[in-house]
Amino acid sequence: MEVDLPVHNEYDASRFHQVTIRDPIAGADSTFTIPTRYVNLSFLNAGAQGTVVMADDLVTTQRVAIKKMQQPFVMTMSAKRAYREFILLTTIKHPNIIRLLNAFTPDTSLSTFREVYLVMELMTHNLHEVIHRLRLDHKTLSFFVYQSLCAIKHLHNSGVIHRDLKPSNIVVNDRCVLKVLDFGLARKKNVDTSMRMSDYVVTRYYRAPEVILGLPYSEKVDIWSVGCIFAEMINHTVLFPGKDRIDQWTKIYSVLGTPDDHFISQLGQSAAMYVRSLPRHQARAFSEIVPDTNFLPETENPRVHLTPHVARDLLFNMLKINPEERYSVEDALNHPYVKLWFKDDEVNAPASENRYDQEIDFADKTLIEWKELIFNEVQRYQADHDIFTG
Amino acid sequence: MTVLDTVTISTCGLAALIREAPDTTLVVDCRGFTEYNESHVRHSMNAFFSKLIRRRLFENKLDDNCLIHQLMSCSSGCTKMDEKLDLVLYAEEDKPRGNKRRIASCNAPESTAKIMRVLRERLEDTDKFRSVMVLEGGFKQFAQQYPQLCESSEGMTRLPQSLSQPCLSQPTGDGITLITPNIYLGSQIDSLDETMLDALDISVVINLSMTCPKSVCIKEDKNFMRIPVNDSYQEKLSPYFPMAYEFLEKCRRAGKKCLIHCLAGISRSPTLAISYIMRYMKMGSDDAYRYVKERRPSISPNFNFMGQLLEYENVLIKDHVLDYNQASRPHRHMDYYGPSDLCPPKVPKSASSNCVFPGSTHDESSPSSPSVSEGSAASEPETSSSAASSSSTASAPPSMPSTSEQGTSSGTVNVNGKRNMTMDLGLPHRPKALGLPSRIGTSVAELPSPSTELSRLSFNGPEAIAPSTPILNFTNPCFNSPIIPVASSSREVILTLPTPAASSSSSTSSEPSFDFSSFESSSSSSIVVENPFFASTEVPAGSSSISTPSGSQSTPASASSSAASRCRMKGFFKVFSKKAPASTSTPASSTPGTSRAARPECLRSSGIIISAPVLAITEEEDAESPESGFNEPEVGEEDDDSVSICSTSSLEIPCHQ
Repeated sequence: MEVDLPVHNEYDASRFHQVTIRDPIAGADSTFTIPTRYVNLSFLNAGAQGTVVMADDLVTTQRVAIKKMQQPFVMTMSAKRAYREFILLTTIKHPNIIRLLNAFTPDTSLSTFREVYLVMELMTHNLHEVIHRLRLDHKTLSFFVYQSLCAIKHLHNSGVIHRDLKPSNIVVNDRCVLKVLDFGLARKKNVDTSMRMSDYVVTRYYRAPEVILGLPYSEKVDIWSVGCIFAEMINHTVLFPGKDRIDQWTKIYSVLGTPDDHFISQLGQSAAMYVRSLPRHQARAFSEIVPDTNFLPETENPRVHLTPHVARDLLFNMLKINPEERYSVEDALNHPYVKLWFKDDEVNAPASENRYDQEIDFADKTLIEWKELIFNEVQRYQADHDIFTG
Repeated sequence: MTVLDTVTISTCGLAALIREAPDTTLVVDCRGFTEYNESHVRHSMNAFFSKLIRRRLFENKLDDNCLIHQLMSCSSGCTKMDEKLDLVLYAEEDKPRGNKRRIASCNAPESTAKIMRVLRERLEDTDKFRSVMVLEGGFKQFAQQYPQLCESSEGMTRLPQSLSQPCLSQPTGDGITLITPNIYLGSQIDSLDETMLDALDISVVINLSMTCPKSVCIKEDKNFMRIPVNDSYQEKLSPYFPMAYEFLEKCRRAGKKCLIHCLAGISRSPTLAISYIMRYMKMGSDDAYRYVKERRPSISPNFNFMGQLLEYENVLIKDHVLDYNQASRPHRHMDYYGPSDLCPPKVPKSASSNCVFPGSTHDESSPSSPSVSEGSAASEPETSSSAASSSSTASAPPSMPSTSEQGTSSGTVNVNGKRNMTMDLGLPHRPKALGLPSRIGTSVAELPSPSTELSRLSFNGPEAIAPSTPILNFTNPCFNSPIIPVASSSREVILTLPTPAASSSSSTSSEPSFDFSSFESSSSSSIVVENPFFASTEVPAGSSSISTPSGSQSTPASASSSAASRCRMKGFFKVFSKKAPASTSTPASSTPGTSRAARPECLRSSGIIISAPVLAITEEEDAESPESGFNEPEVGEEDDDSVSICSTSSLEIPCHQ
């Protein structure tokens, strides 16, 4: 009677079943209420956003990943993030972006709404792991860069800047297909930069200079991130492992050289003064930054421009401190090092309809309002899809 | 079943809140005082435990104000901001721990849930909070799962510095950190932690924010200073340095301890602390930055603030507080960009530049003179300032009276001439909000600085949140793809490639690879993919290459033990760098070929596995990302080997092309 908490609401037992999964790390149980099509659940991971399991989908006979977003409405930040992720996942479709296979909630009304489940493709490795375990041959290297570029080009075309690209946000499978996941910080382009959206937006190591220095930024921040990841795939070590903001900048300019005054003068006056006061550095040669010895020489293929020299040229242009000089996605995709993979349907996939309204980012909604937004979106998804047999 | 209406939060949810949004989360421990002291959720406050309060709660004799007062024990100013706060209540789970309950033992176990429910409803009804939730599972479960997010009060009182935190170096910053014997740095959540503030005997607070609520420990307005700045690249913080210095000095002389805080304690408040250290300890901005950074590693002022510290350094040099030699990077900007950059362009009064001139001429003509004044000044800022002021008084006074705020601070100023000097620092003056906290607090309904808020997310959150992490755990299923038998030489491997014992469904993955003309062959010639499963079952012990368990190098050419050792290595597959002498010498490398390479379609043959220890992995995420991937599924037993391979291979999903 006075029973407290974890009693779950009623659910449609004819179409859903409950499976309790033990999180071996936290030693806690988590109950999944999911359509009966999903069986053989096993724990994958638990994070702040919820628990992820893998499961067999009896309908498609696929292995899938199911993420339970546990009460994404406990705080506005996570609710906002959950909402954003949900909208982007349901609308953006591209071979190099993680695909949502299904989404549902067993809860039938807003008042009982507690859980959202996302069913996604299951990918086998994330790039972070691959980078640190595998020395990649030229082909794979360039293919990964190509696919990353395709993904961000598509995001940009759909009006979204990812802003948080990093190896652990990119997954690959054993067939070398690469996909970007996690839109947590993705934001529509052309946002009023007076908000200056915080220089915290990109995980520090992959953060573009303009973000660190507080300049307005564009989609080229994603190119910078891909450049850093590219270098990391070659060197197996983080290119600019900054310990804090100042250190991040120090790492960058001590490798790439102090930028010219034209660039610095775009900074705020005090920031410019600080940057100018720092010791000046000459740019190091790229042959030193990513030396030949870090490539697999026997995998070179000059005929298709897969050589360290060409790779460095691409990298050089992606890692320009000044975003104006930095390659655009299109430039990068046309670079010889990746051009050989060019397929029009990947590069120029039609922009996804993006219902995500960036205004929402700035909206100061209450938790209840976020909850309702998410609930409505899930309902809408369920109405549009056959979540049980589709 | 009214209970169902209770908004609850899972232990995991609370952990996320504490890590990601400590500044907008208020955790209230409703257990007894003793239990609380023993251990509690980090930064939680203890309230609502007294019998009296509980009785009055049930008798409905507590009005909203009393409730709120219980929470924000003293400050009235903060109630305005409460709607930004998520409130989480917790107590003990009902069941077993009755024996341990001492002070709160008056409550029958089953009433705890009731109390919590009533309390939650009441608090929610006040409409003062963004949300009010009760922790599922109670404190015990939370403590089991997240011991690192719990702390005890005892450590606190004993070791003020180390109380910062037992565990996390990252997410919530560093907690309250001691900078000088009387100055602490902290975040908003720290400023609301009454217990800790009490324990540290902090009675004075400087709040660098537009909107953060006034700290709970403030009893009198004179002990509170608000500096209304945002953590942005436009904000001017330096105009407040002199005023804050006065305030801190006053506080120091009175033997009081002061907390300087902003939202996260990462950018704004450290900047102010650095400015104080520069002047008080006579350090250049770089040294002062390091000084504070050592004590509070999480600081990361934005570049705009760093620039202002540098400007301030120049001002202090001109005013002989700092020696010319102490300049962090002595006037290089002057060399490179000309003197105009030295002074903030907004230097308002000519008088201040009057003040500057004598100093700077001294600096240049006779470097000794500043050091003389410095020498006489010695360590105490007061004396130093009086000495310095004596040198500048002649020119300074005319400018002094012009600014209004001086009046406020001048009361304390008289003791030493330094005040005058600081006022002369040549920085633009802005309206100051000293003593007007509540008004400011109420007037602006602004979001907390997104930057600092997001910092938590981006530094720590995403890794935890990203669905990528889970995927990490997943073992490599690549194994049901065709298996490449390891033959006696790597060259033979190439030859045998096209005869995969193409096992399962995913044979597709490798098929294309055989089409690779020059390209693939070149790479495969140099790389042997060894599948232990396959090898153990089919390959005769004649193969020349054996991978070491650690992975990368094919070393022992000794054949006999190879099969066995291969089995033992249990990796699904080991790819090792060719260069078994034979293959090296005959680089099949650029064999004939097409000009267009086939796409790589098999990750395992797309490179060389690096044995883990070789890499110094620097990435932060490493701490969190579960060790996984290629090695993890390795099991000890040979038999298990095949088992694990089978089982993992079944995990493979046909991945969309």
